[in-house]
Amino acid sequence: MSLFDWYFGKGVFNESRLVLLSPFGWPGRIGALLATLLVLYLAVRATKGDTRRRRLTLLALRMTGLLATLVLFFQPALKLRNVTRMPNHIAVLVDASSSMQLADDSDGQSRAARVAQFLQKDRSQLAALSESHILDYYSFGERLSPIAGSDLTTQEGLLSTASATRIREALAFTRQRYEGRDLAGVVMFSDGIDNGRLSAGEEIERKRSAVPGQPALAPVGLDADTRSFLHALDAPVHTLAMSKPGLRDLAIRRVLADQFAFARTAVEIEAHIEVHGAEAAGWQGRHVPVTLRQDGQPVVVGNITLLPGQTDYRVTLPFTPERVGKFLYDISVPPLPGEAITANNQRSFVLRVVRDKIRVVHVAGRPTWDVRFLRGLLKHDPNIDLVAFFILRSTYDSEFSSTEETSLIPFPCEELFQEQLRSFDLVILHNFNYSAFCSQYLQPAIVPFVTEWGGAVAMLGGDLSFSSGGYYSSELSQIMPVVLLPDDLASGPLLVSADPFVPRLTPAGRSHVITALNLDVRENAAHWDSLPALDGLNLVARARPPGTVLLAHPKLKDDSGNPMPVLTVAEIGRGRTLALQSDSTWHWGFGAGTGRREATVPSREPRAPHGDAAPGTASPSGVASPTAAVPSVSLLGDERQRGDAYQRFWTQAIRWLVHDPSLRQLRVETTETEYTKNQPVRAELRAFGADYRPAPRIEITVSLTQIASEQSIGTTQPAPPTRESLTRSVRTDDEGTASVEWEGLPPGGYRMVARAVLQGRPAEDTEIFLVRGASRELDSLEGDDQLLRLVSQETGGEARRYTDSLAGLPFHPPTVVRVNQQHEVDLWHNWLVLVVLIVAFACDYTLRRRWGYA
Amino acid sequence: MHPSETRSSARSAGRVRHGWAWALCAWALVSTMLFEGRSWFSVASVQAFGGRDRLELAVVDWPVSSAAAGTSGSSSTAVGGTGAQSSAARAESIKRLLWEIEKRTAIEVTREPVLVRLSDAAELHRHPLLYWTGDRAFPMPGDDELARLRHHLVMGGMLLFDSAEGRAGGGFDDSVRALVARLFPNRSLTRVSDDHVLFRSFYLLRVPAGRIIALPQIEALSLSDRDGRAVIVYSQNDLGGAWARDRFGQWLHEVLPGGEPQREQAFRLGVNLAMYALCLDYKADQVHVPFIMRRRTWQATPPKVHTEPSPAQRPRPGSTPGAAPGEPPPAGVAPPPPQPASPLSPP
Repeated sequence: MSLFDWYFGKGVFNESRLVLLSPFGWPGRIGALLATLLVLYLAVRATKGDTRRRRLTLLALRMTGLLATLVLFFQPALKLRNVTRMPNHIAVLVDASSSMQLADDSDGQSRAARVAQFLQKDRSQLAALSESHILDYYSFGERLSPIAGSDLTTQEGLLSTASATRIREALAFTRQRYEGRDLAGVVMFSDGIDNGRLSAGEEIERKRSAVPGQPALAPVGLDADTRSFLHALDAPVHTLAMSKPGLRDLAIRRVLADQFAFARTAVEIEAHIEVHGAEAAGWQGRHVPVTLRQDGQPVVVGNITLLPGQTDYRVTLPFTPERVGKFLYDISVPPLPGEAITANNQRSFVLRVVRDKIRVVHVAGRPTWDVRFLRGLLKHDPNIDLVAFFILRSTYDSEFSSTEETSLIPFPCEELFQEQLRSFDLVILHNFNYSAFCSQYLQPAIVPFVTEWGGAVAMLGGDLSFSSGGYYSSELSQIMPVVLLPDDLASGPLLVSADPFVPRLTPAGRSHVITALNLDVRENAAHWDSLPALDGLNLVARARPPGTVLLAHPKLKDDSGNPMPVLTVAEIGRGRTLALQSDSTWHWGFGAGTGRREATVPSREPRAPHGDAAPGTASPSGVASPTAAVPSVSLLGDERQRGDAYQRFWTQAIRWLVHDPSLRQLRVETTETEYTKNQPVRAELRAFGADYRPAPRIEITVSLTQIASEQSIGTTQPAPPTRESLTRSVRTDDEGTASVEWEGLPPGGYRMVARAVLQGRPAEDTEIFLVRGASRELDSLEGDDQLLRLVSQETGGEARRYTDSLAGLPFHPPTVVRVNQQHEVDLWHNWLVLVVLIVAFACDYTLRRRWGYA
Repeated sequence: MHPSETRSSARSAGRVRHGWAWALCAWALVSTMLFEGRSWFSVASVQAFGGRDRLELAVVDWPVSSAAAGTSGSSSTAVGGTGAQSSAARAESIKRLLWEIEKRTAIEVTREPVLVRLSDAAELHRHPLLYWTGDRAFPMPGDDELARLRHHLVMGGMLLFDSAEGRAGGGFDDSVRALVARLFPNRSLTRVSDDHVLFRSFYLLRVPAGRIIALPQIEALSLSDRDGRAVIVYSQNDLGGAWARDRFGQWLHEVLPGGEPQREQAFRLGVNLAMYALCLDYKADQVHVPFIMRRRTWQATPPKVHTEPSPAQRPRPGSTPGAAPGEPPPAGVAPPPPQPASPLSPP
């Protein structure tokens, strides 16, 4: 029995505490202590030299008096309380990620079911814990969600559908949730597969584990930041590993691919494949093909051979993307017998294929000025990789010398048109009579080059081109945007016209990007009218649908009564073709002075059309050259403009032919290439007019189609893509922009197509993106007990397995109390203190006087 | 059998055989016209199409210096020739070169040379390739003509200076350099390196030979070191003299010191110049390099400088030249100045 129990009765108070009731606060208390020490010091100093007995007596009396004074000053009291301790919280976190659905071995019990079984088995311990703690149950995956404890004890266990496991984030949310509340500890049920910050590559040190049954890359230590975070939790985290050795699985754990690749340049995709349980499943020695597909079509196949004891495999898949654009690729391995899950046998990614340079092959039937000027333009364009072949000597020319004395080389028809044709973006047939050289190679290759591979072909006029070049019955004529005249000249029509003419813009040509020499439509038309005349024209029957005539002859008519086409373009299959029935556009670049002279045009030095250095420009030192002083004539400004016309015309024609993305009038682009499940997908839309100014208030129809789906756990095959288009219409604002957003898209690959009508012409653009489902959750399914152990160690908790029990787990005791009754006993408010004070100081005074102190 | 009878029979039989041959030729001709009409008409269409895109060699019509010509107020063209050479002879030399170009290469030409004046901008800009020859000094064009010529060259034209003075240096040479300095003050004529594409644009050449070899090199001017396109090419070896022949097909000038092989080299250089004008650095493309390097094993004898003797020593046309091959240049002819490294090396 304690003194309080004796005095107040048993059980009335169960807690006491000494308190100071002084109203002066800590500054007053410290000042009082300092004053006491000063007085004591003076007393010691004053008695210095006296006998020991007298000094001790005087100091004892002085200290007693000071002590009594301090008691009166501090006013100590005893606070007695009757309190009740409140139970604190234990957070029970249960992993609800997809991997918990996995059955590790042949017994068929999933990890989630193992949690249920564990809790069912250990319910007595749970009940014991409930007496002194409050058990709060949560599921965690991508986020932390409270659940009822009864949900966990069902035979099926918790519905594990989360697409990720984020242990650190779950602990952070737990800490946040119990901020200011009493957290006794955390109990975490998980398989240790983490794809959050905890296992991020930069935050955890891993090395190859020699422990059988552990993941190939087991963590050996947590980084400083993670350790600091775990310490800050200030609560033990007890982990219970729910995975079981014996997993049989083949998984594509990781795909290393750049975000973009260059067209027609070899690119390597690296796949990391993880194999578990190969020995038990009898997969050793098996050759497993690893297939890279684009849009469902195999691109390249690699192979791995499963070896005993090896769990990590890397396969490099080299391939050469042919076309420019965004494409959905996937890497897959076939399911093996007895495999725990096949959903991780395939992994998709989006690759943007860009063009480093436009690869152009320029084939000319003979050297002409037109060939020379076009070559100059192509050669000096840094964005063009040019391969040229000109016929310098035909079979009709005399051979005055042996070939060895010339620089002539054989025309590489087979290599050019059969082997390497796909590597080009654009083929320019410049007054080239194919039948004399490459008929057997060009004929079969050129049509699929355009229609299937998205290549471009431009045929330029001349006596060796179009009908006069014998193309009438060729396969190439089928993809030309014009219908050729029959070349049976004995009874047929004339194939060429030699009369000079100035071509006229057609209605389509007024707004087409190729013929847009000026942004303003009127200025553009005037610009075309001012250009030098062309010298001749290859005659054609008419434009071939879906060809679009951009330039037409001012007088001649085709056989349908329309103006004779001069420049016609068409989209044929995936590619584009252009027919320009003249070989004298070089006059536009050479600035022939047949156009209008404008005396008011300010005098300017000519600018070289093909990258030549213009005279009169500033020298590298910044000093203008003396040429600037050379007077010029006003004619040159007009001619310079026409020289620019040649360059602008051909540059735009080439960019249009090769589908240059910058020429798209309608553009759609998603904010991300890959989205996680439930993340809203947002796409930005931009519309431009023919002059590439923003097109406001344009209605754009956006359709979304799933082109690939993702397999989920528990299924043997991926669900087929819905192929059902989701369509929405939006209208651009004053800036020509609009946006569209989708939510809740199921995992898979998607193609978004935007369509609009811009100034009467249909425009279209396509975007590809991916919605990831389970994502990295299924990359590696082997449970990671070591990671859970490290988390427990850092927080002072214990790491246990599904075969253990909750018994004996240490938790923080409850710190929150409820005060039922309290009483204060003032220790200073007592006559005894006053008596001691008076007696001590009186004796002190008396003895000082007697012993001769003043 | 009498020998004469035998000969008569043979002649008779020969007539019979010739008759069949003629009939065969006639049948072939008719059948060709009837059944292969396409090719005939194709040729016709070729002739009719795109006449402007044929190679035309435009001769710059510019008066020679009155002091140099020795006549006051004369306005003979620069084609006016050297000494006894007439403008007609110069025109014949151009025609001959064009004929050779058409026969040897796939280039279609207009065989008649065109005279252009620097004052006529419209006509000037129809002819990217200009030919300017002379054998004496010429007056400097005015500012307008210079501006037009400069514009012509910058926009893609090419000017070939061909000195017919018969020696390095001289009045024409002085005028050319003064003109070039006024056209492009920041650039200068530099020696064309042996590996320049000009020497392999069609024929593999080592010697820029003309009627003479006054200077075993040609010079060129490019507008930028990066581009390297030669806008002005200058030969002092009288290329036109080597090409010229009279109406009866006889060569007008002896070619020294190499004779007819050197004339062939002059034609080949003319072909290469035309090919370079139309194809630029096509033969510098990587695809041609292995072939050309292999054929470069073919070597020619290093040229020997031959300079035409002074006017007093100048031989009459068709006569034997006075200077023997390999003879040192006559006194008074300055050796070519040291040239900086050519910027025209192929890319």
